[in-house]
Amino acid sequence: MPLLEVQKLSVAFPKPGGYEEVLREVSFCLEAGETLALIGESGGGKSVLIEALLRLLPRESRVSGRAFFQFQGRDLLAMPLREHRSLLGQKIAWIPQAATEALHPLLPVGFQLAEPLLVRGIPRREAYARLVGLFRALDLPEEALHRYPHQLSGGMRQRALVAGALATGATLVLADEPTKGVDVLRKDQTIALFQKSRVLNPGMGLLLVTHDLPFAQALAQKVVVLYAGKVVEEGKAQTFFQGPLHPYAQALLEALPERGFKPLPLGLGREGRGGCPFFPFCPEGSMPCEEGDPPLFQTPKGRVRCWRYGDTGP
Amino acid sequence: MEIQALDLWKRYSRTWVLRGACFSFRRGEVVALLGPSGSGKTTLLLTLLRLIPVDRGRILIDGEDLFRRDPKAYHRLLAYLPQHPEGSFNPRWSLGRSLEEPLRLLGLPLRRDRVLEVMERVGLSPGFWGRYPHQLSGGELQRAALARALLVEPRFLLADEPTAMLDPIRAANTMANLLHLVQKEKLGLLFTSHDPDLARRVAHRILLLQEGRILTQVAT
Amino acid sequence: MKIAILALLAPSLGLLALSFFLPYPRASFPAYLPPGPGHPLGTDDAGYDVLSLLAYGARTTLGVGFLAGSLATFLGAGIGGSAGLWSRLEAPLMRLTDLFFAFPRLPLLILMSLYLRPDPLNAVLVLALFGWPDTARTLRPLVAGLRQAGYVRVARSLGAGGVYLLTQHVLPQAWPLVATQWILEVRFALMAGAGLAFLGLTDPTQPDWGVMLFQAFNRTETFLGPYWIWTVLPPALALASLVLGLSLAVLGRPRQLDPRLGG
Repeated sequence: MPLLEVQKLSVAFPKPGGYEEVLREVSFCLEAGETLALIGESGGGKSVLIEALLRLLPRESRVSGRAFFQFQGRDLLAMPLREHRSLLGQKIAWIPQAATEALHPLLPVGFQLAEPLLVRGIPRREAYARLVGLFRALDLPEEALHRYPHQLSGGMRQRALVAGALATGATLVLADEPTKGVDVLRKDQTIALFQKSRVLNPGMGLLLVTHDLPFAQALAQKVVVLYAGKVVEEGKAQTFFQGPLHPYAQALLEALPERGFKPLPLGLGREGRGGCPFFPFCPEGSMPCEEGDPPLFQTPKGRVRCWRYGDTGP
Repeated sequence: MEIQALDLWKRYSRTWVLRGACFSFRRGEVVALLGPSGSGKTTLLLTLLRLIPVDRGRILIDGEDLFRRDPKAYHRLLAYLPQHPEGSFNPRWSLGRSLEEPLRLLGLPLRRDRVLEVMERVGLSPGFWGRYPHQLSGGELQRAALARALLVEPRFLLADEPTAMLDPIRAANTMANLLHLVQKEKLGLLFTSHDPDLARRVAHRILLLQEGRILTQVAT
Repeated sequence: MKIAILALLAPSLGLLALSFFLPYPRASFPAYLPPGPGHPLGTDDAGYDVLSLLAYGARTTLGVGFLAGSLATFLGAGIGGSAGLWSRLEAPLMRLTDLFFAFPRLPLLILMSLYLRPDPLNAVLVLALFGWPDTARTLRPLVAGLRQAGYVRVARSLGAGGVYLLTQHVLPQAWPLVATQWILEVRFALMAGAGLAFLGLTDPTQPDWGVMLFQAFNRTETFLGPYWIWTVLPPALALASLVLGLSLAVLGRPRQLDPRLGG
């Protein structure tokens, strides 16, 4: 069975007058030893997905669907909270997005990062040795372990978090924008580090939430694109980056500086219109797009939620 | 009109972040400031804005130390676009009040029609005047920050990582907006970034900040 | 909850108001008259009408409490805010704060009363002078955090000075914290003032709830008969309800605001 199998995961948050659906029946599989890049717009629910898997969403939110984790074959969302908690920091590691908020301001960095290891019974010396090794690989000075978060720059904090997650040796690593605020030189090192971790831990599955497309391209074997809370494309990374299928994904790639830097005015006003949510901005929109939200169609290159591929059959 | 930064030195406790950085740029130019994180890009930007004092060095406008003579005039020339637009508005103030703030601080006339006109130029309808920051999306706040910067009729825009937190499409949109304005109003744009591809695409010149010093390159 | 708070604060405020309608207490009545017509709360050992004492006592007790508390909060906010805002001032001001913080107020009050005239104003001074450090310490990190806020930077990039930032951006955000501190300071000052009076260290001729208790406890017969019911209970309950009301008012209000959130 795959390392992580997400089935129809939906998340909604309460707002005045009802609920706002942030994720709508998102499904995908992450195999052991695979890196899956989850891409999509900022604030589009990618982080929410990770938080849902980690069961860190506010109590008022509505979560439905299932997430089967290979470790015991059980649904992460349904298991008792205590058991779920015991997996975190051991079998499942999280690299959170906002490095500034993720680190406790009053504790030294090394102390915080070592905590999940120490709790498991790993001796202090070994825990710190692991961290030192990872820090070095990421160009962080060893003394950073003894510093406080505010004494490190934003990029350094982000790298420290990456090191911390990899130090746990977890099989499922959920990385939320690990290159945010990290400059190009260190990005390469981050890529190298993830690749090296794969070698040391061959079964490791990496769920990479990012909108850093070059970074995703370097690491991922599979790509899932989210738009308006739904999966709009899914396929092998190699074919995806050569030529994505969904117009939104195409726009995403064309917007990159090295591929055209094409802007695409995106507004709001999607809600309640019916039809494909990307239609108002889609350069290829036509009649069926206005009427109905397409289902996921299977094509030789992967699955895509777009009427243009309708004749290849669902 | 030209800004010159001469021999800037800045120290935080024991560490020298800027060590004799020198550069200049003029109106109509788009200059990218690149460097590894922690290299002092933001510090450099903040010294230009006079938010941080330099330990040594001078900043001149057209050869003159304008700041010493007339600080308000200096502040009027250089507009700041902070990295996180969401955090750059007082949550208790309406958008209109926040937009008026620069005019108040610099002693410029508070003409609501002017404010509304600038708002429209960045794509914010008059209805936004009474809204509060938490009611606006990230993109709208970014445009609001731009409007606020433009209201004082600056000659230079200093933007801190304008695209760092954005997905590729929004980043392209933001830069397109900025560049369009820069061209139209003949502004000088200095922005910090991590992304050399972006810089190459967009900037006339790239300044590389390393170990507190500047090595320059020329782009397109 | 709000109703409970109001109900607890009402008697004290009511008594304060009453003091403007009642004549100044005089020892002109027979002693230990039980509550009855003409003296709703009876008279004490010296023949003072208890209700009048309670009403006029409210002036002193509440006066000292609120004045000292307000002064302490004001000083603390000013010093803590300045320390947070001007980084050059931070170290010296915080060391000053530590210095004053080290002095325990109650023993100082007692010492003071031995050397100075037992004037309520002196009590206010001591309470305020050594009470501000708490507010200063709590406010400083909040203000320092706000200094990093985006909108503060933007204002500074336009030439905004410290005073503008303090009044326009920082204090309005810091207000909830300052308000909470104020309630706490007032509460402490109330108890301290009343406590001082209770120990007999203030001017006994000035009506005050603490003094009432002091007098009552000084008489052996207070608890041998039913007299305590109207000489001890009224001031005790008045004080207790006031303090309880204030305590409930701060319940649920954050005292230590995370400075990074800026309030």
